[in-house]
Amino acid sequence: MKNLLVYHFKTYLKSYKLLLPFLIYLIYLFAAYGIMPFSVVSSFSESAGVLFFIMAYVGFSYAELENPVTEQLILLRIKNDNLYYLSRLTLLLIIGFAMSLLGLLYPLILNVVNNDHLFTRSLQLADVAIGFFLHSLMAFLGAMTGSFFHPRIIKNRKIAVLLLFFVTVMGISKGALADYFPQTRLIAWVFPPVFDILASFTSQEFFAVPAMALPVTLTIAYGLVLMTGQIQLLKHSKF
Amino acid sequence: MDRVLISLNTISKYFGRKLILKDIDLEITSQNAIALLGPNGSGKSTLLKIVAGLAKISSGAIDYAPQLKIAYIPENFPKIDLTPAEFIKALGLIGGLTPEQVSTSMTDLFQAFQMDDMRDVPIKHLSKGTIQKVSVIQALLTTPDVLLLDEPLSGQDIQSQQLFIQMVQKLHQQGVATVMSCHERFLVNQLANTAYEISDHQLIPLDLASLKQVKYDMLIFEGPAEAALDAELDRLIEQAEWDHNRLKVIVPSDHSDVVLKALLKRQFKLRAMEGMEQ
Repeated sequence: MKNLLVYHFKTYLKSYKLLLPFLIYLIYLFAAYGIMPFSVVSSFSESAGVLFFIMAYVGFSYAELENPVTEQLILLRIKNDNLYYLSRLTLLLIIGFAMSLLGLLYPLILNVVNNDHLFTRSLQLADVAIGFFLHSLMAFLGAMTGSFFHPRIIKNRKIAVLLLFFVTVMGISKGALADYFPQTRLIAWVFPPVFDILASFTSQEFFAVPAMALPVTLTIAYGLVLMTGQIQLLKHSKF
Repeated sequence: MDRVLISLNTISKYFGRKLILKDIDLEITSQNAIALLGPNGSGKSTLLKIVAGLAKISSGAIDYAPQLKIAYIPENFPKIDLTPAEFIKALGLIGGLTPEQVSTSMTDLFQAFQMDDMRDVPIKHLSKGTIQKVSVIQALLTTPDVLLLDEPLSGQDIQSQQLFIQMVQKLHQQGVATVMSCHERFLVNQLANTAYEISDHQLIPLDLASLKQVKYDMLIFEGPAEAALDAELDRLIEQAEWDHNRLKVIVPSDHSDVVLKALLKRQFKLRAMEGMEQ
């Protein structure tokens, strides 16, 4: 697994495909934390929501980068398709963790620089811990959503891009849509539960763990379904 | 009796509704050096991928001997960002070799294929022939039980072709089974002891002796750089290779005069011509 991760990391890093999403997230953070003070919960939720989109792009571009020939050569060597695909998704999770760290470290440092006045209230350890968890969860969900649109799962790239755009936008806007068109609730579960998790923090001053429990479980389950689903589909479709 | 390594039992393959291979039966033993011949699109590469277990079959079954090590040389190795050294090292480590084993094998192979100067150049910047060498080196990093080769000699210079042929012959002597798709019929007898042609979706055994009887000439011309050869001429030529404004063609001796005349007519200038040793 270690050698596979090193290989994937080198391949991805040398493609410079990580640069754009990294810069976009950095610019977002600069802009979002421009005028203080902020509510801890809403600013962390918003940042995690943006990370979902960023990681969906990272997952998609990483899946596109996969070369079928080198993939075949490695599959022949390791003789374990599950391990190969899992290693690729693990790399995405590692990138997601790094981006989550960035999404949290930036406001933390800014808060220290501003003598603890960045937020409307004093930052607590629980805010940092839950904030990091929330970012990581959204990064995981985004990465699994983006990587699901793999060129071997959806062969037409135009359709894949449009579908990914539609699915990610629906993921965050399905709640608002359901308010206007209640019947859309019937199919809303198909889309990533981004709205479900972010809605649990609306108008909250502190992160409430009990209110998070159900949406978090739903998000982890949704991400795992996408993860196992894409591995099975890739194994089944072969070359 | 030879140990059967891979056995294809009545396998068929469709791409969508298009039939590619039909009811193929093939046993690969450790003594086999199989050449698959046939025109482009006949299903040679697909059959190799099926043998490797990389392509799905539509019907039939494949049996593999336990713990089988299969190496594969693809026809078109991709132009990736990694350097040959980075790629080969990564592949060796992923395959379970120690860093020392990888380093030793890599050094030997880079030296043998005269790639020492290019080991740290990104693969995407290498020529087609050099990239093909990387493809060959990755397969020879460890000794496999079965070596699958998809048009392994295309784009390689004569020297590398000869080196490659010697390596494959040596591997075969060590008991490595080889299955190779190849359109250079003049090389088949050097690399194979069994030959099949894929015709009408089926595997037709070929008489190697009849292939051996074909004599070939090598002609070198100087001409308008990379000028396209028409289809009629292309059919007569076994292999054509451009090096700047020099065109090297390998032609069955029966067709040499026709090809020579046709190319002279197209303003090519003959620079060398000789019969090829089998």
